[in-house]
Amino acid sequence: MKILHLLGHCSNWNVDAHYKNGIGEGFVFCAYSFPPEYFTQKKIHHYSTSEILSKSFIDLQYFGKKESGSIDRGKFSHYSFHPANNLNDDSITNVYLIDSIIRGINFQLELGLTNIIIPNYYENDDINKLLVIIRQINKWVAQNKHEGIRYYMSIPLSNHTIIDNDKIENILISLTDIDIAFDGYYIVCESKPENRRKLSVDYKYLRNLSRVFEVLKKQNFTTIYAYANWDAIIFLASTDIDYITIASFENLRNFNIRRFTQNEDGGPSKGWYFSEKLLNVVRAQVIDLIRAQKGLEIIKNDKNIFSDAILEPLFQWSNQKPDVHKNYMVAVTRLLQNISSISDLENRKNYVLSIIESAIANYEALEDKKVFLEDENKNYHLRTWQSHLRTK
Amino acid sequence: MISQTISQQLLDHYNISGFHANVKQGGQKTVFFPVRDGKKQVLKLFQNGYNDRLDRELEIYDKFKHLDSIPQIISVENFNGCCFIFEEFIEGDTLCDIENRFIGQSPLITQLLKDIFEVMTPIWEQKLVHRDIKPENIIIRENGKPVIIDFGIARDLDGATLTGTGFQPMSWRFASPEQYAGDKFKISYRTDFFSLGTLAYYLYHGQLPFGNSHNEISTKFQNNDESFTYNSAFTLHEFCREAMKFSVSERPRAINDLIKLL
Ligand SMILES: Nc1ncnc2c1ncn2[C@@H]1O[C@H](COP(=O)(O)OP(=O)(O)OP(=O)(O)O)[C@@H](O)[C@H]1O
Repeated sequence: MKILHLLGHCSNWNVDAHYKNGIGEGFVFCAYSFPPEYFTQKKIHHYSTSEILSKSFIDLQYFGKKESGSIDRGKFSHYSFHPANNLNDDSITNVYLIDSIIRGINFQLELGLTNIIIPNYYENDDINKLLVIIRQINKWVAQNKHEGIRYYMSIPLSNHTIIDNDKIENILISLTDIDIAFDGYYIVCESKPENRRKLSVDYKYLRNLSRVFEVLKKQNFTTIYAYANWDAIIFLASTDIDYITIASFENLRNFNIRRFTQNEDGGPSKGWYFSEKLLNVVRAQVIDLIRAQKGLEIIKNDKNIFSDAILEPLFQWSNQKPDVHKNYMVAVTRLLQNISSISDLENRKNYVLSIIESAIANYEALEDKKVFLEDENKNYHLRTWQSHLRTK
Repeated sequence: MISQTISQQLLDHYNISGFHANVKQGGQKTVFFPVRDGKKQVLKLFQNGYNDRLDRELEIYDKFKHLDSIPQIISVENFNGCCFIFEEFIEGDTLCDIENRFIGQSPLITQLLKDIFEVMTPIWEQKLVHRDIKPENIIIRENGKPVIIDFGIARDLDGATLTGTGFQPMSWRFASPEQYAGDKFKISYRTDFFSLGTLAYYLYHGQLPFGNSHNEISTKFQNNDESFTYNSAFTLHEFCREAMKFSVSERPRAINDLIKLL
């Protein structure tokens, strides 16, 4: 398993985390935030562009589609071929959609990328539309594959789709068909957590997304889990996923089609402390309470200079500060790496179960200290994870 | 009505001097074994006349006429409203007549399956599916090599859909979960994988892996209960387990991955 930074807002934090702290092995640039000109500058955040591009992918983010009404274009309009420029036009045909995808592939080839993420559209519930596009693009790739280039087809899975066993099986049958020429798949899944939750604990979501990775991996495809949140640890527990993306802001850790169709701003926040001991985030405001109750040791991340910095009593919390996000990057990277270092999958699962047990115990230890967490901070997810893994 | 006999007129017209084996009655056709110009042949008479299904079957034979592991079509005839074909007679034993020889014989079964894979690989690669692989549709030549017959419900996956999933009345024994469920979308070359897994199991044990009636098997499929018992000396259980995954997407995607398990 390799970790990639999914880059958007404040990408310099990720780039620095990579070069200065050794976090992650490469980058995925999201077209929403980076215009094509960005990749022709000499330097990107002080680092040579060619050096950066040699370990980079580009996600052109074709997700937003005509049916969804309007599309928030961000930097998309800088890409002449980006379908966001035309999708409100009624005359859009399948030929146009396919052509935009091919042009998106060629753009990446011309930039010299060797790992191509084939952009794809989001379909809410008509998986046949999705499969028609995939088949046509597969034919094209089979005929136009370049030596030394790896092609990863984007598979955007709507929440509707991921919770439907039969749809998922039909998609998997197509993705693993005899004539598939792709090297792997770039999996984007809409998790739709409930209100005041960061993660989905829908059992069907957990089971089916696990299955997607398991089956694709079993059939020898490279798997990339994009827009992953820290529940990636659950999927990694049962499949040795090849790449998992980490990211600083919520919009890159929780794929939601609305973000491509509406302008949604997270707004200011004091930020969150991600705790590897709780396998959850804790709101900045609660940190003072935990400190007062002498519970910081229970939640504190090990060997993490960013965590040390932000747990200082005088730290002024804000989600616009890099250390808050770098704490997450370091902690989640370590969690994922510890898991993936266990190659035997049965042992790996048991290891993940053991860290879930410890997290549950840590929640109890906080309660012993009269710290009762609420909403997204509380333990709403660990029991479901346990059940999910135990029943696999 | 099914015509069990052939008119003298037809016999004369096609120079048929006699029959070298007894007539066989199938679901859609009657199979005669005529001798023409001193040579053994097969005459398949289609009860429902010339239809899409026959058309499809012929197309497949035509596409693969270079293979000697499927029968050659000699001619397609329409005589006084009767629709039939003359087909090469494959000298040998139909597998269902000699299946006892395979009981408990892993190496024999392994070799047979390897040969069947060799026959089917180019067909699957063209995105075609047999959909009715069973002992009745496998003839073993005198040299031991199998010939696959009856591509009647084969389907060209890129071509038009033909018979839904429709399998023959007696074919439930080797049919896959997707065929039981009537789920057209899921039919693919991996449907044949399932039948071959079942065939391997059946030849060794003399019984089917998931039950001995349509009902029993159907219940196993519905309960998603993939377990089956096998004789400890049966070396093909791993092959069977992979080929007979109830989920199509979990069956090996690459033909070679499955062959490797043999
Ligand atoms: N070309 C052939 N050479 C030798 N024997 C043949 C040949 N074709 C058919 N047979 C014999 O005739 C039997 C019936 O043939 P086939 O499977 O084509 O018809 P069917 O079972 O009646 O078809 P359907 O399954 O479509 O009803 C076979 O099991 C086999 O024993």
